[in-house]
Formats: sequence, structure tokens, C-alpha cells
Amino acid sequence: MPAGPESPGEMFLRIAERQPDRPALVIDEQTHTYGDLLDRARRLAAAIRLIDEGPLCAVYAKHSVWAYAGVLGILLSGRGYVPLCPAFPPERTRWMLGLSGASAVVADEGHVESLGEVICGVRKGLTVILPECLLPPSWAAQCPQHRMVCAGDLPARGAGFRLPDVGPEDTAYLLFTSGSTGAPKGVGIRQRNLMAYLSGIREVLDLGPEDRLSQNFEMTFDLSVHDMFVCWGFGACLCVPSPREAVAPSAFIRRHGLTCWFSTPSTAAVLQRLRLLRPGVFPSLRWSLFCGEPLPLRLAEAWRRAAPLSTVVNLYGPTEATVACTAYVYGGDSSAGECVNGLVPIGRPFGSTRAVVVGDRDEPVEGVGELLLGGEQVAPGYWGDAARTAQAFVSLPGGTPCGPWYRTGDLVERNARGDLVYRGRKDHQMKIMGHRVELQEVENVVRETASARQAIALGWPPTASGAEGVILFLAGAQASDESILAGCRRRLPPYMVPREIHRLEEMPLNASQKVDRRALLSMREGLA
Amino acid sequence: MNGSEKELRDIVMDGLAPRLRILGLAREAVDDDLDLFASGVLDSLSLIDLLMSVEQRLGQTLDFESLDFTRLVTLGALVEQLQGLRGAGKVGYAA
Repeated sequence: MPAGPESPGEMFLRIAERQPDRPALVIDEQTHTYGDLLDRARRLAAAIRLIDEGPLCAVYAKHSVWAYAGVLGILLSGRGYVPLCPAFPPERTRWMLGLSGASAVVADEGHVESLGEVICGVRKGLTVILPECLLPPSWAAQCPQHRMVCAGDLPARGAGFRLPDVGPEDTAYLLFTSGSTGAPKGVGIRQRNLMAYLSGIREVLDLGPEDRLSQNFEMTFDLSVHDMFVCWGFGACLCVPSPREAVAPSAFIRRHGLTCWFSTPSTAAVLQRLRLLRPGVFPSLRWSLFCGEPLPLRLAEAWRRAAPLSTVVNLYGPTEATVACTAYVYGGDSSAGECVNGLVPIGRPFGSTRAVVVGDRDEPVEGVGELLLGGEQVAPGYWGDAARTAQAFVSLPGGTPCGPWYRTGDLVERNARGDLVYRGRKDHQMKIMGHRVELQEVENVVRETASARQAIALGWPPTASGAEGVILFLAGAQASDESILAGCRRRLPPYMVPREIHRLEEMPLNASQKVDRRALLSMREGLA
Repeated sequence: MNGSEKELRDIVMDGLAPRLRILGLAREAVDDDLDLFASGVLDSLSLIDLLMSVEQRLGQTLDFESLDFTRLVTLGALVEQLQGLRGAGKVGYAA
């Protein structure tokens, strides 16, 4: 038997060569086969290898076949991909691009214009690959430092394509998560980290080429890595709802006969709110996976009834440990007794992951403590940030065979059965509709743009899993609401921009003379 | 536009008012063709909030199953589809 693939690029290549005529991707109601995706990806890969030397290449695209072909093409070129979201403010995207060091960007046709806003002011010369454009965009004339590679410049076929050597320590993708100091943190996941996830998740999930999987996550969110590579690893078909339909995708599930669902609990909660989770409405689903934020018991139960033939799995894991590393199979009545605070357990580690629960001095504890994760899925650290890497990626006394442990900042405990149960955060990180948000990042941006004496960001309104959005309390700020919000929109992704601003003379303080966040929340509650 | 559609449009506009205020948009600036998402008036969450608040104001249970989310882009489409749901309802509505 031949050895298994060593990289996600090789994995896709092998499957696509074995089953070129099977469907790989459905987008805008159009089906693309494995052969079609492979052809596009190979042509891109050949072009990238000809023109760019760097280890990373960015992809600036959203909801298009070239977004997916872009990711695959970059991996097939032997490089790692850096997903950039066109919905993010140009300043934030520029910052990410700069930190990544990437000198080539693949963009789809729909976002060529907004890419101009991002890179026109970038002095470093970039190569911009536009596989759908026959001519360079008009803005290209204003920035001669960048080189445009259009459709006609790509090799007509990926003929003679050979996969370059990819090492296990090479970066597969670089993502950014919210950082408490006001700038996002880069997390570079190595090829071997991703392969460890793809092998580990097979202990939880079993699929085949007949399966049809959802694609709900933005490419800047690492759960999209699961969507793409778990799906294609099984030779199955990935189905992408349109951005509008993604709001409440129940009709989408039925129309495409999806067999495997994966979303945040927030997406499921929207369906529940609209009363679309009626018993038996999703008979095609065999698997229903949730990740990204705590899963409320009531929601898990409603989903189980809506998709009665599916196994409901709660996954947990930070970006720093590659997608997910613990799993809990929700079994209905038998599971209800294992839930704590109305939340479904996050279960146990799978694959190579090891979990320890520690107290303040990193000593193992029996009750509530911080969850530390070790194993093959743990990233090498934060991109170009030795200080923050040293804080979060640690070795434990006594030594371990599996390299650094990642401090999740999540508080957990084990229930009577030994499953891990989520109990909260050690810091001010929050889940806003499944997005990981450091509230201090919002506060820092506001303090800088509004020159406010005090700025406190809070999640509001609360949901069972976190909060729907961010609201802001200010003391001693001169700037107008409009200018504060404009400053936030320039630097923060939409879900982090405050939805309300409340001004106070003074912030309430608690016994330890810190701003009393609970008092602020009660104040907001009083306004409702 | 008949009376009940006008009433519905007003209810929808009331629901949008806080977002318009924060964006600095005048109520009159919103016409039927405005793309509510591209203009930043709505995101997916505030759309759901809006649907629930319209339902509450109408005092009538709406069957959101029949909404075509792919077409819910402009104010006109939103009002038209909600009006459709309203007509399909079995119970009469209060106030």
C-alpha cells in the first residue's frame, strides 16, 4: 500500500486524479468537478512557481470558484496560503498582508476593485494574479510597483505539472485572530499540524464520496479549513450557500440534500429563532457538527429533533491547535445529565492531542482550571511575535514527549464521566456570533481614535454562547459617535464594530478599583 | 402601494431607524431599491432582529419558512415578501 499523502495539496491531487468527474464544489448553483478544480489549481500553481519565490501567497477572494481554486493552487505550488477577507477594512487587510510577508496575491474578479484600495498604497512590489481578468484593472496604472498577471498569462493547461516537495514544517496557512493589544495575532499552521488534524478527525467522523458537506465558514476563520479539506479528503462534495442564504440556510440544506452540516451554534440559533428547526425538517443529514463557541443544550436538542438521522457532535479547539481537538457526541436524553450550566460538554481529545487542566501554578487540578493542549496539532507560535509566543506556548514541569503546550485561556473541568466541560474564560476574550474577539482590541482602537480617557467594550446582547455584538461605554471622550465608529470601521472587522455607544461621566468601579464591567452590563440591561 | 403595504413599510422603517441613525442616513434617503446589506444598514443578525420585531408589531405569527433569503436584499423586496407572509397567515392580526 502506498504511503498516505504528506500534505493537503498532495491529498487533493491524488483524489482529484482518481475521480476527476465527481463533484467537488457547488457554488452559485453550479457544480464543479474535481477535474475542473484541479485544472484551475494547477494552472495557478504553475504561474505562482514561475513568478514568486516566497513561502506564502495571499488569496483575496470570497464566494467564487477561484477562491477555492486559489487556496488549492497556492498549496499545489508548495506554498502556504494567507486568506484575506474583502469585507474587512483595507487598513486591517494591508496590515495582515504586510505581516505575512507574502509578495503575491491571487484575487477573484468580483474583488479586483477593492483589492486596489488595499494595495495601491503598498510600496513593496506585489505580484497580483487575476485568473479571470483579461486586462489589468484601471488602478494598476497608478501603482507601477505591482505586477499584474492576467488570465492570458496563465499556462493554458497544467500540463507537465509536478507537485514540488513540501516539508512537514512548511506553513500550510496563516490566519489572524483578535489580539488584546489592539493588533491581530498571526497563527501559522504547519503542513504537519493540518495533516494531524485531518487524520485525527477521522476518529470522530466517517464520510465517503457520496457525501455533501456544508461550507458556512469564511476563509479567514479556520473552521473553513475543515470544510474544504475534510470534504475533499473523503472525495466528497462541498456546497456553498450564497451570502444571503447563509443567514438562514434551512432551504439550502434541503435543496442540496446535504448529509453533513458544520456551523457555529449561532447559525443554528438563528434557525431556531425563526422557528425553522421543526422536527424532521432535515432528513438528509447524517452528521451535524458544531464548533467555534459553546453549544447550548436546548439548541443541540432542537437540532437533533430537526435532523433525527444525524449524529450531533460538539467540537472544540482554538486556531492555535488547528481547527478542533476535542469532540463530544451528543446523544439526547443520556447526554442531558452530563451538561453543565446548560452547555453541552466539549468532550475528549482526539488524534494526537493531549489535554491537561491546570491551576495558577500550572499544577494539574481536579476542579475548574485552565485547559492546556499539546500534541501534533499545536502551532509553533505567533507569527513574528516571540514575546506573545513565549506567553502562550509553554513547557510543563515534568516534561512531555509532544513539544509545547498551548495555553487556551479557557476554563474547563471534567464531569463525572471524564468529559471536559467549558466553564468560561480567564480573560476578556468573547465569542461574538462564533468569532473570537478580544474586547481589549476594540477598546484600544477606540482609545486611539477617540482619545477617550476610558473606553470599555462589552458583548451585548448576551446569547447562550457569547454575545450578538459589541457595545461601547465611554468616559471623557470628545469625539462624536460618527467619528469613533468611522475609526472602528477603518480598523476592525464588521462584527467587532460597536453597535451602541453609551457615554458616562465616570466609570463605575468595583472593590478592587477596576472598572466594574458587571455594573455596566446591568446599566445596559436597565435600558432595555 | 395600498394601505396595509404602506403600514408594513412604516413598521420596517421603524425597525431600521436605530441603524439609520448610527449610519447618519436620513429616513428619506432609503428608497425601495436600496441594497440594505451593501449599504451597511443590515447585517445578517440585524435582519433576524428586524424580522422578529416586525412580527411582534404585527401581532401575527409569520411563517418564515416561505421567505426566500436569496432575494431579501432591497427594502422593496423585504416589504413585498413580508406582505406575502402576512397574507398567507391563518390568524387575523391585532392592532
